[in-house]
Amino acid sequence: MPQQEYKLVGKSIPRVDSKAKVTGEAVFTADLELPRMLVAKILRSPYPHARILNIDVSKAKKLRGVHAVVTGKDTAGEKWGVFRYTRDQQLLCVDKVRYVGDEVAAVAAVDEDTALEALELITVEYEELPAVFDAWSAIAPGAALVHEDKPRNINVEVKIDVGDVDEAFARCHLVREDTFVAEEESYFMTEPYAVVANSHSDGSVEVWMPNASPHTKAKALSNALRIPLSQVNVRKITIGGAFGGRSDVFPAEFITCLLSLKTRRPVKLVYSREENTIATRKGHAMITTHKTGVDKEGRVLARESVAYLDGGAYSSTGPIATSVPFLCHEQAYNVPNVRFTGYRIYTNKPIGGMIRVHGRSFACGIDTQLDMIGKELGIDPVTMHLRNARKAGETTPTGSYVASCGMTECIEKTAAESNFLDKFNNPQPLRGIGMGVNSVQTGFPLGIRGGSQAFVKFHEDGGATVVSGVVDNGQGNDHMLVLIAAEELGLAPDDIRLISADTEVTPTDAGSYSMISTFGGGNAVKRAAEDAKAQIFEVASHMLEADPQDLVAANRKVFVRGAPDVGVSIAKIVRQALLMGRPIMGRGSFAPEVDQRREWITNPRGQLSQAFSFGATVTEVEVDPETGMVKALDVTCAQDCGFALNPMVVEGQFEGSVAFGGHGGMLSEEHRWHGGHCLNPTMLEYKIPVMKDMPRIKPIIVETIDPAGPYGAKEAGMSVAMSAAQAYCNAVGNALGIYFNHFPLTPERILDAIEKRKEGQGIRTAWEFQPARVIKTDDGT
Amino acid sequence: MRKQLLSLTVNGDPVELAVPPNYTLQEALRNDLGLKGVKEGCSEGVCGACTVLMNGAPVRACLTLALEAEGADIVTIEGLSKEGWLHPIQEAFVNLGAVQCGFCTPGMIMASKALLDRIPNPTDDDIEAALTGNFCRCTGYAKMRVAVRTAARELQEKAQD
Amino acid sequence: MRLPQFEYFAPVSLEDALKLKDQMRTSAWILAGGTDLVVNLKHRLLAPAALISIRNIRNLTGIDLTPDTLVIRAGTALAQVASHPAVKEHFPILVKAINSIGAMAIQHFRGTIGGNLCLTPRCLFYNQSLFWRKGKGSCHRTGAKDCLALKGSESCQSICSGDTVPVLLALSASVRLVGLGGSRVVPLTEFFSGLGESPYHILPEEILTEIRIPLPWAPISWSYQRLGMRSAVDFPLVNAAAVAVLDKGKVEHLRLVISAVGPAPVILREAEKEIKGAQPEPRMADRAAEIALRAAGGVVVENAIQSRDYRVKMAGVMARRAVKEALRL
Repeated sequence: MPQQEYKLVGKSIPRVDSKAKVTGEAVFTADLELPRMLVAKILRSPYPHARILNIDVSKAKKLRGVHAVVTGKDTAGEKWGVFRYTRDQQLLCVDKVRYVGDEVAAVAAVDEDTALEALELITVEYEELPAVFDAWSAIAPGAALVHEDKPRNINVEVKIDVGDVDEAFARCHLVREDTFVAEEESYFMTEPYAVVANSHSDGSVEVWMPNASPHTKAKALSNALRIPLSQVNVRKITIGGAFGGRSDVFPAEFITCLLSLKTRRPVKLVYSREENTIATRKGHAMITTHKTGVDKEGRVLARESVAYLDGGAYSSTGPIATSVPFLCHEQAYNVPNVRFTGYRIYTNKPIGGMIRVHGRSFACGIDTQLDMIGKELGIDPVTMHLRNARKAGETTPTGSYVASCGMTECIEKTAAESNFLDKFNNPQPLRGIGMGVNSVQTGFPLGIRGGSQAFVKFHEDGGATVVSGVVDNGQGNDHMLVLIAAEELGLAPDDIRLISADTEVTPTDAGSYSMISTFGGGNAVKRAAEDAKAQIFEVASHMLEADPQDLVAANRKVFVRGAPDVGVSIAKIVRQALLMGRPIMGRGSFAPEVDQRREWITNPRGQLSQAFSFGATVTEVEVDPETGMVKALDVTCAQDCGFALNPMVVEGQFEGSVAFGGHGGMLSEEHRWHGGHCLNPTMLEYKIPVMKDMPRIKPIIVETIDPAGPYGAKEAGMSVAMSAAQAYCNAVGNALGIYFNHFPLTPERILDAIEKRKEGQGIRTAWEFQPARVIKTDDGT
Repeated sequence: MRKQLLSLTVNGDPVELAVPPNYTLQEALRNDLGLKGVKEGCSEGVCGACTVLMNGAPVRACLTLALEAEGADIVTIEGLSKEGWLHPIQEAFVNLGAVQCGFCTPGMIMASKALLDRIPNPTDDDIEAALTGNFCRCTGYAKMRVAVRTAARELQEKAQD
Repeated sequence: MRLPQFEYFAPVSLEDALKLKDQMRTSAWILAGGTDLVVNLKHRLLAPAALISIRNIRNLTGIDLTPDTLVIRAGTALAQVASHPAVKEHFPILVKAINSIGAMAIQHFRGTIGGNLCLTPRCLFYNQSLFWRKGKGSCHRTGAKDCLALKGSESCQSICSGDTVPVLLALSASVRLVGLGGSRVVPLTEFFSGLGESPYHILPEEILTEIRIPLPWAPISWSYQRLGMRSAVDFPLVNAAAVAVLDKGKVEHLRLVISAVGPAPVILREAEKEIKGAQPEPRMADRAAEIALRAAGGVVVENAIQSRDYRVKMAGVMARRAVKEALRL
């Protein structure tokens, strides 16, 4: 259908879920109240690394009001891992604790005070062990091992080698190597983690929690609790943000279910802000060394990157986390010869997961280094980016065909809108402008593979109910699904009811992580609606005495194309279909066309994702050279989202991405540590941006109409989040004539770099860091 | 710990509760009155998700002892819409895309209400000053500013009618 | 987060409150706005047997202007102070300081001036949850005789973090402390102990009732400087206040204070001495910076979200800027 004929998609209309959210009606997990509900609390390790010698829960059990106490003994040592080969996290620690916050025991009691008192009555004997807190000390020979079976604390090793890197370096006009370091960042979604579990006498258990994939959670719980999958029912609930931090499975839901099964009562666990920070996931600290070679025109001919990710105590999504920074880069830039070696290293710190600006040392390193090379060659950043930008029809080094790509347009539009070259070529003191570009996937396999399925059923009044496994973390997936169904069925959004993210009712969906929901779930709902529409047309064709192919559904009616006045209402068609014994029941399924043989470590080749989004951001800043404080003035961001299903929502995603990825992510957000203790687990000392500090943001939507996306849509916002980080980094650097290589750019780092700045020493990074190298292990590999 | 009697007005209704001294206003509103729109985001007065109006002023319900609200007039997000009609601030947040995950939304709207009650025609600086203590992680705040500006205009037009 | 158990009293007169305080001493805490106290209670940093709310005590709120003094009752909400005509007229520096506290629209309506002046000093090793602190061991304030931020330190090195502190000090304010036996007025110069564990010279049976700011005898020139990682909901990394009287081209009077550097604000007397009586000139700002840097170097420890080195340097920058602005350089 030509775009102009769309009734709903492509237009800015209010989200269907927002009314419940502005009235306080929307129910989040912590808001749930069930009869006889108990309160759960978790006892956590106060030590970064210790052997558990004994746990005595007898006193806690005797406390009045305590209904259950569980420890590792109740779990049969069950371990969780996203992949079969990364099962390393005990759901309750049995032998060792590996970070401050590791789950040791849990209680369910009549109220919070009693539960807290019970925790105090549990005595745990620990034998403290030497611990490691950063990648360098963790890989040192002889370092304490977080997991005894993992020498040098290497959790994951990803090796990619495409083309002939060494030969290409030899041909290069210019080669430079620089090392970039980034500290840990956190999600700080506004809703702290919470779980409610309710077990029933039929053996089933219902679970509510903020999550990015109800079906993944149900599978993990089914395995760990040894309950059939069909009896673990993860329910729909409003979710207060995810940003990558709700994708994984946590001990919390397992523990809450276990307590509910033991007590035969509903149990609620609500995390404190501190627990949400240390005991869910955090972004990885990362050291990346990039060696890049270019020709005279600044075209990158070869790149070799080695990265160390500080993964914390357990694997989580380790193989993915280690690969994705490289993969985003190979999508964004056309680099024919590349070698990447990525290590995820265990340390005695909270667990690293995927986050919105995942791999900021990698991404910001790439663009900082490109700026440096441009400077050496006398080529401006816009030209450098354009010369190396990915284009549609190309294939990435690891073998993903790029069907649609608006990277060039994003670069050109942000450069033009921000007047980039003029400002870059006529610098004002302490003002800086910088550009970043990046690309993200629309979906990739997270341990499980699979597409999304959906159903559409009709009500006798002509309204429809859509059933989909897609979960809404806050980004607007519910709205997206309703919008697509309404568009296809010729209904208004108000005519559509949505049942989603309830594993008992909804068909499977891979989950709302890795930017897949619109592409996967949206396509499935579109197909289900198309199927329902075909059935409607079939019935209507008899009523209207017309060929189904000539029919159109719009304004709650079906009519022959070109004759909207003589239509028949969908309600009537639905009732007619019932009379005919052919109720309208639409089914749809969509699985992205990806290479099923591709595997993160053993076979990182083949189609990774069916579509990719591309984005460019330009940031303008002013720096106070005495304090190192940065004021962001203007941000111009563009992303090729394929097609903007709802421009207002897409813009909102861009703006949020600038705040999270660029502003907070590059200027202030980092965790500080004292040994294994996080010094800033709370919202006071972890500095997420506030309204007053945010710059003006100019969002630019670029559309390339992806051949496989629903209406051409891909994903909205993530390429902005990533590129914004790079743009902020380069803008601050541009203001001061410094190439930063330690992130985020906190005032003290900026000041330190200013003080260390030496004129006439050539083009160099602010700090000299030990480069990350391929690790030689004892067995010679 | 002995409970003490507490009388206050919540969303226009007189309410009598018996609460222990170590109970926050947030706990009283959420647990005893079921007003779950009063969110708990940080529990230490930082994020602003629990913002309610106390005698017209925005306060952090998580930092206010319930007993300190004796005799007070409290308005929560649940008290803003009347008979199903959204308040113009709520309307603007919906229509202008200022809502994403929705967790900060009740507090953000109550802070906006306090602002517009005090300053019907706020400058951008007024809006920033009023809302900068409410944390949002999704929106980048851009659409919220627009929503508050729009609501202010709407309210003024209504007042003139 | 749950609050620990405590008794709650809301006496209707200051005398009743004083009687309670006299009986219970340090085991009873005064509850004013609660924006600092309640957080500290939730983190189990304090375990008072009782809280004495001042909300029913009428004469603990309000602002009076006497011929020579502005008297701000300690329980006056920050918003009220900042919007009071006399404060705006005589002490815009105080308005500026108040506007940078917490979040303007929120803390201000509950938070009080007395509360901000007497904030519990802050430390990254102390302002943490009970769980957090269990893994780290105790310090001067949690029952041990050591400091987690500065091993071997004989006293607590927590940071005096109030935005109003350097300003009130620079305005030569004093406080009225009232006990059952009577009341005394203590200049702020003698109010801070320098010990993080017991930061204020106030007796266990006393209540702080007033902040008294002398009205300037001549027009004052002022500056308040503060540095934070974000422009709201952030305690200062360091702050500075300067209040000067310029007369006939000379610096007739100068009070220069840096704060948020250690357990007590620091008056830069050496700088004041050098500058007073002389004609304002740019090098004065640099001298103030040098002196501030040295002073901060002696007190700042590694216990805030930016490094010790950075905060020391910033003490210099804030002092320089304060002098520059106050002396109109």
